[in-house]
Amino acid sequence: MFNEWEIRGWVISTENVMAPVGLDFFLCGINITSTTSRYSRTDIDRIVGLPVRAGFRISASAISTEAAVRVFEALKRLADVPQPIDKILSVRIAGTDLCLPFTGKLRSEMINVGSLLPVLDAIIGTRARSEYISVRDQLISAPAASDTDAVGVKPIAFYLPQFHPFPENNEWWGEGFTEWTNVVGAKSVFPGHYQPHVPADFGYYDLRVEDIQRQQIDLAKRYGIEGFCYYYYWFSGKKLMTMPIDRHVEKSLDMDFCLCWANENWSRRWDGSESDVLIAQRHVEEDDVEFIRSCIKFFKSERYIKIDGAPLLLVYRVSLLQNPEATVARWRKIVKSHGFPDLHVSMVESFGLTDPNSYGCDSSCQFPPHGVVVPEITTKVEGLDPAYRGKIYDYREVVRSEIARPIPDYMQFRCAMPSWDNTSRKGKDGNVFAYSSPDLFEVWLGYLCSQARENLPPASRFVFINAWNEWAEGAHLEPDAQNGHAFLASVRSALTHDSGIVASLQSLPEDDKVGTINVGEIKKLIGKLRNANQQMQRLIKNYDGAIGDRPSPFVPIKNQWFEVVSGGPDDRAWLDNINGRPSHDTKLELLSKQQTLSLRGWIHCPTILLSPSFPVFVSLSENAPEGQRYFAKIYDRQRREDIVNSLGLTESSVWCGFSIKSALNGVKPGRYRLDFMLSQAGKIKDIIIVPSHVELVVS
Amino acid sequence: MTYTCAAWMKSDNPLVSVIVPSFNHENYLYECLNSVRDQDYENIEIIVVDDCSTDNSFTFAQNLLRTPFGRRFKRVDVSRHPKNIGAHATINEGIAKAQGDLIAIINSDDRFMPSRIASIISAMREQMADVGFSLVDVVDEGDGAFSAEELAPFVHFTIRQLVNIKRDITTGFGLLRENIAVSTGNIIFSRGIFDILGGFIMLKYCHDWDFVLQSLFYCEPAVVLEPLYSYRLHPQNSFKGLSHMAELETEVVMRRFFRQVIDREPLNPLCPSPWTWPGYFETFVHQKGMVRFFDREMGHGMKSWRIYDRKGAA
Repeated sequence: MFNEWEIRGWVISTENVMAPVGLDFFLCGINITSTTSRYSRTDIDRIVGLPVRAGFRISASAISTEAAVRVFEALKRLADVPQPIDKILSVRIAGTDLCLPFTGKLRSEMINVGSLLPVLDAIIGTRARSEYISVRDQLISAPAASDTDAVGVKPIAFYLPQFHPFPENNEWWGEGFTEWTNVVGAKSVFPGHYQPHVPADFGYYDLRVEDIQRQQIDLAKRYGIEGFCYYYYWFSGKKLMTMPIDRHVEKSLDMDFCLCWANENWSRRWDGSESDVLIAQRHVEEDDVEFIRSCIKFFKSERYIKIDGAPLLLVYRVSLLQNPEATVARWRKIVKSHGFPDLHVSMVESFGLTDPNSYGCDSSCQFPPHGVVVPEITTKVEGLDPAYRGKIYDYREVVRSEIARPIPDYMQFRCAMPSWDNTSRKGKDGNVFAYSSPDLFEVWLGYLCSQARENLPPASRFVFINAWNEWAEGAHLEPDAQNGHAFLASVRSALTHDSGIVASLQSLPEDDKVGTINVGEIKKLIGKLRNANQQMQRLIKNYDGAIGDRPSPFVPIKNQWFEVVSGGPDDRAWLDNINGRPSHDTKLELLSKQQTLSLRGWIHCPTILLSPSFPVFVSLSENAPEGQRYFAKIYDRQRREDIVNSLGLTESSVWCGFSIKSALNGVKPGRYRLDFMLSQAGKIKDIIIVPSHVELVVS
Repeated sequence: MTYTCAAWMKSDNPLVSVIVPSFNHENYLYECLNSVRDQDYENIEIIVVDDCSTDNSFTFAQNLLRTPFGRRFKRVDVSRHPKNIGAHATINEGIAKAQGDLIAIINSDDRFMPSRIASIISAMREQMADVGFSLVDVVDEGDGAFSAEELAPFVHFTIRQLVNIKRDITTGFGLLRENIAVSTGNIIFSRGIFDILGGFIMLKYCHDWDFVLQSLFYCEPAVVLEPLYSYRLHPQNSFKGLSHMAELETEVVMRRFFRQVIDREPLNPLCPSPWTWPGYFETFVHQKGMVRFFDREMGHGMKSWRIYDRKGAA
């Protein structure tokens, strides 16, 4: 009945022999499936004298995976002792407590529970395969060890919480307006001008979808970004677009974050100007107090970025506050009254602002392209649309001048931008930073990172990036169709030390000297080395196995770790060659410890199954009875049909071929017998010694 | 949390907590506990956590350790779950109760060799390590219950393990190739490294491999090349079950390791990583056929499975 995992039997209802009977099946008390009697059983038909269809049968495939998991666990617990059938299985008539009896034969037999497990395992396996990806991802992101002491640089990316429609925007810009509305319509204004930017991995996403935000965080973290700086749109008590920030706190999303108060008017021109104001900031004392109160719930989040306990708050245009110094002082008081040691206010270096201390702030944060010094190249661009009225700048110059920027005498967080272009918002009035590339961005960011390591205390080693997703300003790390993950990858490489060193070197003039050597020459040398290294890496990737594995070393083995059993009298290992030379007559081989020993050949041992799953070792043994032995394992086993066919051996010898490159540096000088050690199927300690009749002298 | 390398060494005679996750091994439990009792090392506490055994394991352990047998230990703690929660959770729970600076685990059907704890601690001290392990001896008590194929992985286990440890340039690379530490029961580790790593993750088979690989980031393990752990093959462990999980778990373990060593420079200067072994690491990863996992974590190779720029691709 349990054979091949099928349960068969018969049942009839005495009230109506023709009616099918419903049955429930239980394994270890767990309901696995239900069925009704429906199969014809001629033996029963004959007894009853009617075609009653009393038979039933179910197979293992009827068990659901959920039930299989539970049954598997339950059976595993009983697996060591054979069990009587009624301890495991019961077949009940549906809706009653009546169990069908088992035949006498079944009752007398004990069931080997272990033999049932593989079937259940297979059922569970099917599900495991279909859930592979989700289970894997969940496990991979299991909390990994984190060393908060690490003195690494923490890159923080500005994050625009737009990208979803909301009533105010619908009102001002038309139904369903989002940033994408502008992004999709962008046109290039000169040959090679990259527009429109087409989002890749996340598509034209909508932030109302929670999963997008989770995916963004996951992607950002994969490339070493450790925080988002959300723009916080708070206008005299009116909040806009805070939904993603609120969600970050509520769902405690797995990413650190801070806020940047976008404290300017919201105008139709996206530049905070006084004309065409859509929603205004008042900046009176009451408002500013209310503002900081609204921040407290964010500050209280464990993921809020703090410097020695003080929440980090950026203010986009601190000069707009009525009395910045007094306001910041008031803020500190309020934040302290909520139990924080202090507040760290960082002034964004927008609109020509430079000295944070004069505004009562603790630090400043750069915000390119604000504040970059770079000549316009508009007239030099060939093929420019004559109707274009904006300005074009050279991104390469930006990188050069930003690297050369002197260190200020206040605390400054530096910031780099991957690219910048707001023609999608402003059309032919937009400005473009041309010739940006992931490589240049890496140089820039790499330099900022090495500077942060030198100039900032460990708790505030931040480097900002403008931006994670300013698509309408062409400034986004998020993957697009042209660059894919390239800008993200730049962030990761910029975080490594060597890239910082290279970047620092970039900032020095060519004719500077390090010792007696020109900086220019060092740059060239590093360039060559990097290039050579890249070529080598490519070779390694493209030519699988071109670089040999390390030789397997001979290691000393104790005699008590194995038991020698005798093999056949004609057993012998034949060496096709030793260290590349044919070895027909070799009886004695001389080698030094520094040399490797390469052997290729085959083993003649017809009584033994030579399967690759059983290990074969090469052994070196001293001739003395208690002499030292060394083993090296053969990892390369070969099928030798030629040998099997020509000697008329059986299929069990087909894996007789081997090849090994071994290292002798662990072997003490001396004279050794070279043997091959085979294992015997079913015995874990037995060794059969197969001689090669070759001796080795190690000097 | 701050990691201090081998902080346990401050004590000359650190307390070792031996955790015994017990499950239905009543017949072997005496030998297991007795092998802990027979340790040369003196300063030991024993913590038995019974994972809802259906046999008398729990009562046996409780009664035995109540007799003078238990006086050998600095502290005895025997507890039992109301329901079965699995090996890694049981171990984590046992460790939560531990008071020692060093932690050893022993499966309730295995045995320690008498010098195990003392030898490994002295090797760990010598190398200022937070993790140590030894060779493993396998004893076949299957009475013929195993087929030759089932036994194949255990054939000449000690010798193979030794050869595999010596095969690679460092122990760390050996561990990346395969779990040469073998079993949770075969590792001794400090409380410090356990807390930094946050315990064993929810894997059925590879939680120990994951643990040792994750620990490589912080320190190189110490290895004693003597069989000091005796692994018993008996009919009860004939079918380990759920074997299809192995592939999934391998990917999880590999990718977690890559993620760890890609993001930050390891504190252990020998840890296999692109920082410490530039070029060699990539070659090794490639030769071992793990390059797909590595590329996924590096963000390389995205282009190979997606065309970003159709113009460029054409």
